[in-house]
Amino acid sequence: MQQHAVEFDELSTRCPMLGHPVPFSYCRQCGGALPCRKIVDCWSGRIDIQGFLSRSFSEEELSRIAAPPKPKLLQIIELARAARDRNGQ
Amino acid sequence: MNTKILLNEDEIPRQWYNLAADLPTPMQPPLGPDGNPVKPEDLAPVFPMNLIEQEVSQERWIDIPEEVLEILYRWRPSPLRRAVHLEKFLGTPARIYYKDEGVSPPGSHKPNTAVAQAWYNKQFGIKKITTETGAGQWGSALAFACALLGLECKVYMVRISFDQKPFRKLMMNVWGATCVASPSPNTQAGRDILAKTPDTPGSLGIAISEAIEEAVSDTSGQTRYALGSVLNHVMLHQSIIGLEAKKQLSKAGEKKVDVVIGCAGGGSNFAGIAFPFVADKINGAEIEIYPVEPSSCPTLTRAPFTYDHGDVAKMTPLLPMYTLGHGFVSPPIHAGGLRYHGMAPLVSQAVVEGLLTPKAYDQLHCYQSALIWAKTEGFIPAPETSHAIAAVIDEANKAKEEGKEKVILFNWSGHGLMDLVGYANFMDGRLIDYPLPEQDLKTSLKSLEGLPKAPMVKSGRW
Repeated sequence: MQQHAVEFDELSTRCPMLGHPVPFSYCRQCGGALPCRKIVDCWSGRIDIQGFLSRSFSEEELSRIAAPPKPKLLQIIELARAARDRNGQ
Repeated sequence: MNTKILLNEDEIPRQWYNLAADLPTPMQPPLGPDGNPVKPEDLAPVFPMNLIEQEVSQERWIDIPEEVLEILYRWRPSPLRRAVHLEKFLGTPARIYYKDEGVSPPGSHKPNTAVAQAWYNKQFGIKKITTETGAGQWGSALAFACALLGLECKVYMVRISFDQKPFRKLMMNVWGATCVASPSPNTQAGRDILAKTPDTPGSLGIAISEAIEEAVSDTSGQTRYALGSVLNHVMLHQSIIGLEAKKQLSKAGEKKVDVVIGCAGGGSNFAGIAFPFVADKINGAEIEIYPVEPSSCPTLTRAPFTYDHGDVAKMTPLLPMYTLGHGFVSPPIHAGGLRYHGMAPLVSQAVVEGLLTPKAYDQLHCYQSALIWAKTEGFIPAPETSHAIAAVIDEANKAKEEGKEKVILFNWSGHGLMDLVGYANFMDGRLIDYPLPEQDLKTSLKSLEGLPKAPMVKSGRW
């Protein structure tokens, strides 16, 4: 992935979730092992983002990237349960 | 003629309006993986029970506590302004009004719910509230609210934002909040991430994890988490916007409003201005109510109503909402908070009923409209606000063609002075419109095949 990433890392765009400009390097890593789920949204038309993704990730990973966010209320419940598990509560 | 219609403090609405009580068909509850509705107890470690009660309430009116009003008086009632210069420019017989929510100390509508949430937490015995923030608009609103109520406030700010946006962080500090870069060593979630990737720029997902972990890990039970959008109780608190507007329109001599418009993203902005007028429509008033969304992400205007899983593994609970399917990723558009995959359930159900008429606008049209607004009314709108303005201009031109004196109301959700790069890109011709091609929509919707179809329960009145 790194080989493909460096060619775009110095480019920047406005992140709609954070509300300010971010470099491509942020978009490709802010989802942990995966890029941001909005990476296609924000970068198509500027770079060959589909090509970057297909070169860098498996089909299963691409499906996870394209997955929408979970409903907020349920996301919160899951995060609370995960936090309690982490802390042995 | 007054272009600013003001209310005295003793004229402020004293109850919030809850649309859930008046929807002709009841809301379908969010479902867990087992198919059963999510229970209030599931949320108890995260939110105080008094806010959970509001989240699931079916009461039409909920009293605004006097202590909350005392704080809101610092900027509320907010002005209702008439856009006479835009009217003149367009040569329209329409009268255009907008609710100015940019007058709060933190500069947005967010404090309407931040103050209420902080107060209810305090009533529940909570001493500390945690949250996450990106650029800091919500974080600063909550910091402001906690300062006024004597609560401790801890904000996990995404590392890259923390480094790039020092002024919002300083705002939070001025109001006495602790703002830390996320991931942080303060939580196990943060430590795990830092151990793997010490130089990570963070993300909102990590920041939310940290904020919730800090809340649920406090063994004293005196810490809770707060969210500034999407949820029902947030929209409830924002209803004060539309309730004030109704009084102000009456004060301006308007007997009825014909069109209500708001940008539709997480829901609270649109719901705040629109839901009180949806109530009038339910009771027989003839009002057109338009949630406006980007044409490249037509959540309401082209997608079917269905249950949608939150992930491709289909293990997450299901929630009825308008959806474009798991595979949908919208093309680029500078519309900030508008870029949500699904719409808030209350808004979705109102659309199903036909109470709302969603509209979609492309970003070039929106920026063109924003420039017209800036050159007439003077204020430079935020990208999200420009979607509403585009719809307002269209409606005003339509009124001109029809020769009708329509009354148009919309929510001014903020200035665009922090978004000038978007304007520069537009004026330099670097923005491109990406209306979602029909074929792309069909491909996206294939992912919904085989999922249970949410029943289209509606009264059929609209």
